[in-house]
Amino acid sequence: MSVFGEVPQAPPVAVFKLTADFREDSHPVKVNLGVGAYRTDDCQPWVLPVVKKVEHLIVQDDGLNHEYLPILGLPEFRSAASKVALGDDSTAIKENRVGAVQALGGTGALRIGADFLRRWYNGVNNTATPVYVSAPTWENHNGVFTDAGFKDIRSYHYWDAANRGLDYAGLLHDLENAPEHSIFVLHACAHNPTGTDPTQEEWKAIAEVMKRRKLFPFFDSAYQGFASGDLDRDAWAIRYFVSEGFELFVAQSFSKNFGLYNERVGNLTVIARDGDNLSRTLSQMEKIVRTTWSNPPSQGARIVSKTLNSPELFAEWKENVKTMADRVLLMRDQLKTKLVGLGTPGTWDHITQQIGMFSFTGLNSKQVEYLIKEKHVYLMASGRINMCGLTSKNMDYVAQSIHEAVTNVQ
Amino acid sequence: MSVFREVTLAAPVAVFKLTEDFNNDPFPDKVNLGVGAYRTDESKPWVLPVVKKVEKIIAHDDRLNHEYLPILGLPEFRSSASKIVLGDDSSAIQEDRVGAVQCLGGTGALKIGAEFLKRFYNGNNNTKTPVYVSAPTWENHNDLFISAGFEDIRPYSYWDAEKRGLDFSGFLGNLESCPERSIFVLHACAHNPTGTDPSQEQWKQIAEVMKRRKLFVFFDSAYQGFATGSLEKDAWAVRYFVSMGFEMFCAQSFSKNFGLYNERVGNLTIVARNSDLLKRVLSQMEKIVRITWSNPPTQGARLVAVTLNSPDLFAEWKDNVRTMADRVLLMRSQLKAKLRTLGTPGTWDHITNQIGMFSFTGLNPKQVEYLIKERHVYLMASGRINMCGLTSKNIDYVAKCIHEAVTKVQ
Repeated sequence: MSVFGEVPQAPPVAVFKLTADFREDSHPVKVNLGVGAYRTDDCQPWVLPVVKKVEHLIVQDDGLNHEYLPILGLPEFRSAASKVALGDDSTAIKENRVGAVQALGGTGALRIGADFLRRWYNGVNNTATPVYVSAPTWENHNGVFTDAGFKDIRSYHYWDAANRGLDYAGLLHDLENAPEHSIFVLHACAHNPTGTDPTQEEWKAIAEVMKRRKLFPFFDSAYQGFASGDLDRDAWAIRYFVSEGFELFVAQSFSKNFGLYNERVGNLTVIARDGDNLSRTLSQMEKIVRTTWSNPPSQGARIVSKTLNSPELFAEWKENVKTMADRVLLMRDQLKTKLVGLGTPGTWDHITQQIGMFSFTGLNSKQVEYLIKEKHVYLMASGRINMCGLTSKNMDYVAQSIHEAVTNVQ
Repeated sequence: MSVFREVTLAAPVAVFKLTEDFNNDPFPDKVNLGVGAYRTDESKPWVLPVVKKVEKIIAHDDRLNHEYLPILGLPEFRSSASKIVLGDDSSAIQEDRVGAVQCLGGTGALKIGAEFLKRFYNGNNNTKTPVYVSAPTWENHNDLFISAGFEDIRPYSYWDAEKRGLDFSGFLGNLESCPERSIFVLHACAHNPTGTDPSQEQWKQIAEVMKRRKLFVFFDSAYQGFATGSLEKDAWAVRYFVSMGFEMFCAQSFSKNFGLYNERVGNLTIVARNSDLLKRVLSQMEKIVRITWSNPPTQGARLVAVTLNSPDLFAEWKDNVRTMADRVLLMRSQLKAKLRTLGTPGTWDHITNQIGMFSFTGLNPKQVEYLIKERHVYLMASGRINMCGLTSKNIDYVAKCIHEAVTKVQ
């Protein structure tokens, strides 16, 4: 008799199952528009040239060793990472009320932030505080906050399927009606999966309601630089909220904009009213980190830190980021053009209006199934496609396949 | 009014506070016998030569990229790490009932294991299952299981302060009287902090009781190879339990034996009755990993995998490990000899009887305080010293200080 006898088989994570199915598919012109990682026009992963360069610098540096990092992580990484999000001229940083926890990718940053909020926000161990995530959102948000102990995860209106855009009125309505002190997970830019962000004016209105109703902003920033190609532009919403005096968290990921997916480079930036509140908060973050991973991994943080802290490497990195963002923009442009050219029913403006890695095509689940099974074009059941999966070589095939899905399948 | 105003200041983790105090101490002859990391005879951190070699290999391998690892980690790391602890000829491995989760150091492996057990062991979400940790044990064990949700952490008798050895009858007594199905955290070798391990005969008796009383075996293996210098010898207990048919977890750390402290290289090895059960367990482990760190960091796992999977590099690594283990043995031998020569009251056999990085000196808190404050010799309040902190240059000073502490302070 096994002690594991009652353990049920868990379903696989959808996005990885999709890639696993893709790998097993022997069809010669298969296309993977699933998992969110950048691909070159040759459909290859891309190690950023600046990353390769810095990796060499690191391996040659005999002054470095492998001693434990501090619990909160590499100091020069944490400060540089927060600076990238908040800006060089950030007054909050000058006022010594910005801190950070180096974390395991964006996931780890969300996790530590969620664990902290459950223990210390809106009372002690108040698991009843509602946590709002957008409808739809990254599939892992719900699980992270649930496992941190929150009992009440709700969705806020976000995607308007009929208009293929932001359900702004619905969003505002949910903000107005959420219990005070509710936590809101906001996508800083390049919303996953819809690629649809509020405008600056809309962000201002969102901030006004949140301030008035004492709602806690928890930004998820996984695509800074990747969305528009401009780091400052992509951080506008975060910086606006900070300038409006909010205390907030930003879960930053460097997986995409540094292409360092597998080194798990993340940062939880913490903005508090003052240095004293900040230091108490960080001390409690240390306790949480200690029982989760003890202290974070060095390699990825070193690479990012070295890059951000050197003017030349920083400039080179921005170039590499722009390369990726530009290719995505090109693919958006071409896909829309081809669909329009094919006379595919419906409007396809959303393809170029949405920003970042993903497009919410508006295809329904039957059409998605058709694409995967009949055309060997893999995408998420939600209709989300990763623009990076498109190349000059497969663009025609994908456009044609979408056309067929829309015309043949309802 | 800050949303963080109710957050209290957490006490710093003792072992890191000790190092911080040490770093701030201007005394020229200060000695740090606190945190558990290897030091050379020049009191410097040591990057293993084989690690430096493999880092260069990896940096120059252009076939490698930074794409996400699978949720459970780098396959070649997981299998070679499990093989290291279970043995090349492990029948459990041959029977396909051994699996693993790449984790963030030993801490991460314990964490994922604890989270799994909380959900699925001894019923569903049975947070009342007692978890037994040795008295004393690594200071993070308790908090780690509590943060995973277990409500009942209990000590099992371990250290006999009087005779400065294992309280074996107390240990057996706890095993006989605890509730059936309790979880026991066992140190595979080089017990932290006492350096005192059961003998093989004692392990056999422990296993007999545990099997009869259906207790769950959770090994913590942070020092394989480091304790005696022999990987096989240090894994004897783990392998014995597997050969006795236990289903069990083994949290492995490669921080010490690879000197890769800051890359967070760990592995949770799982032994189940058969491969179907194993598969179900691993699927649930994936869910837990996904909402904690999503997928693990690559650099450290690559280093270890490349080393373990190459006969030449593996041999070189074993040599590096022996270098560390031998230096520790030398320091043990010399410290005991010097204390004897000084005529320091008490017996000091335990210094050479104990194995691994640590020695439980038997010094009381007053004597410890004297050593730190008056003599600038830093050690844990429990009297634990890190043998690696001793060098040919400071051993006379340390011996003399211990002598003074014992003779002057009661």
